[in-house]
Amino acid sequence: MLNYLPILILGIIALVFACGSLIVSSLIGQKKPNEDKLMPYECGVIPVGDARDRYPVRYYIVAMLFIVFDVEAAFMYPWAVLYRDLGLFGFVEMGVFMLILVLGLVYVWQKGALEWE
Amino acid sequence: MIFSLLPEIFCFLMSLVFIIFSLKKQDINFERKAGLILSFINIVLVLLTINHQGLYFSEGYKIDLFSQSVKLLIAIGLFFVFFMADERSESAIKKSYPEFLFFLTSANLGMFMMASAVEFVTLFLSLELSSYSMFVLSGFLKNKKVSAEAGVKYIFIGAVASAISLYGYSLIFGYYVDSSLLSMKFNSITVTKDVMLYIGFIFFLSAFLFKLAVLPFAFWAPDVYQGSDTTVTTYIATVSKVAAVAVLLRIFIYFIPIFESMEKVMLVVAVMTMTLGNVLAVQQKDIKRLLAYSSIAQAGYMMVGIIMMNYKGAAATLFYVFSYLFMNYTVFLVADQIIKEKGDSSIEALRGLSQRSPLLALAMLLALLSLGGVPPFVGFTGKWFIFTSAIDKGYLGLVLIAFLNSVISVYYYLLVARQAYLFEPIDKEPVKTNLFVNLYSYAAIIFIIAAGFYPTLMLSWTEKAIKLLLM
Repeated sequence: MLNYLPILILGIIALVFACGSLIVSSLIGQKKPNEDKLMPYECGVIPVGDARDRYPVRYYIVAMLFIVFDVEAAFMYPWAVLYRDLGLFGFVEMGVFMLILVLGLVYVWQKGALEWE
Repeated sequence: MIFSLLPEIFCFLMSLVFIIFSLKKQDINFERKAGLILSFINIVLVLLTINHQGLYFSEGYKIDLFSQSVKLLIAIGLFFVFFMADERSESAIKKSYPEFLFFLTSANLGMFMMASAVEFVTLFLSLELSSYSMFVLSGFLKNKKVSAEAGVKYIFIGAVASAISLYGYSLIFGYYVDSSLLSMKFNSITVTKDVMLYIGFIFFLSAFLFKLAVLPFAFWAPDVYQGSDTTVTTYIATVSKVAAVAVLLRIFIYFIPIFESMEKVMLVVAVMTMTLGNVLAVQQKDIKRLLAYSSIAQAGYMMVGIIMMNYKGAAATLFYVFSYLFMNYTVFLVADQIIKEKGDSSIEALRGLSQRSPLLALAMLLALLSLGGVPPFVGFTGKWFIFTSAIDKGYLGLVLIAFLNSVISVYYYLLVARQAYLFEPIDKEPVKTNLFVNLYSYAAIIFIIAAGFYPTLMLSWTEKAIKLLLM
């Protein structure tokens, strides 16, 4: 049990820091209440309508595809760094990985998921 | 090295082939034939590598007789399930048939890896590979609400079980600072009594207990079994159970010092599982629901054998799983013929099956009696081995409860058989089947009787496999 003590201490520090900074800023910070400050922050644009709105399911498909290729890119960085050490083995491994991904992309393309209309 | 891994590599390539098939609209018969041939080659490859041994991928992947015989069973199960998905299947399956085969194959690849993985992360990833595929499969009938419900229930309960399992692994890792089951196995002999380690192991098991449908994680089974297509239900009820039992056997045997102190608690869970399954199965009107509760009960019997954690108990469990796959598949195959014909999965749809198709009725009757543990059949022999191993350890009371449970189960299995044998059929037309169904029925009848009388061949095989596991 004692081995987990550092994690507990880390948690307590995080909690104290988060609560502490809120409390301290509310104690010693300036207070100029303003109606605009109560509005939800949306990059400076004045919010329109309810946030819980329906939007096309296509967004999800694009988002999923984005994540797949995003992760792929992240995975290729360490491989590129170690390319010389890994040699042919690394190249073949990455080739197999890319093959699966490309096959998935071809599948998605063929099924028409990339067409917006 | 590459030769021993052929079944996995082939299974992977097979899944790619199905993806390529799905790109272009093809004749369903061609796809089906290709699937059957490929899955048959898969069985052959497992058979070719059955006596191989070795450790691969930085000692994270173990090939031995135990893993290969489990893989053989999984490959046979896949072949059978491919046979069930034919031109009479639901239109949603026929419409995207290659995808259906693809998900079955990728689930199969995950299970192959589950049988061999001896490293926690590999084990967990292979579990997820098979789980994700089965989540999709259970919700495959897009036009049916029950199927969507099954998919959603399966994925939610499965995700929670996986999350608990990962948390448990983090605790185990915090204790050993290692992820290899093999090196931990030797460390566990000099284990200190640390509560967190025990909690970690119990939590880690949750994802596998979920797959096997053991009590705290059993409540998905009836809805998922009923909602998914019968092909998928068969896969969940037979093949995925085999893989889960294989992993549980491995973990329990590798960490005997840890699980020994929890033996009694786990046995109580096993008894509760079988009692719940059997009591709730009695009043079911739907054959798939009834089989779901019966499979919960069967998981309870298997858990007894796993928890014995000795040579005899483990060999008996493996034997029982072997026979369980065939018995359960027989019942599902017969039920599937009726469901495809009538589109109705109630027990009453089986009315008068003995007059319409004596062969199917007999195969189903024998499989049901065997599942219930009636003496000359293979299910009885398997249960006998499991329960004698429990008596050897001194759990006589447990065996008495399990025996009472068997009696209840015979009652509801015979309720199904009663519909087939004692009632007049509404229409006397013979059930439409194909050659495979007939051939399989003959084979199942022979197997259930022959292996019941002469279990030595199969038992010596499982004993050999377990001996390698214990090393």
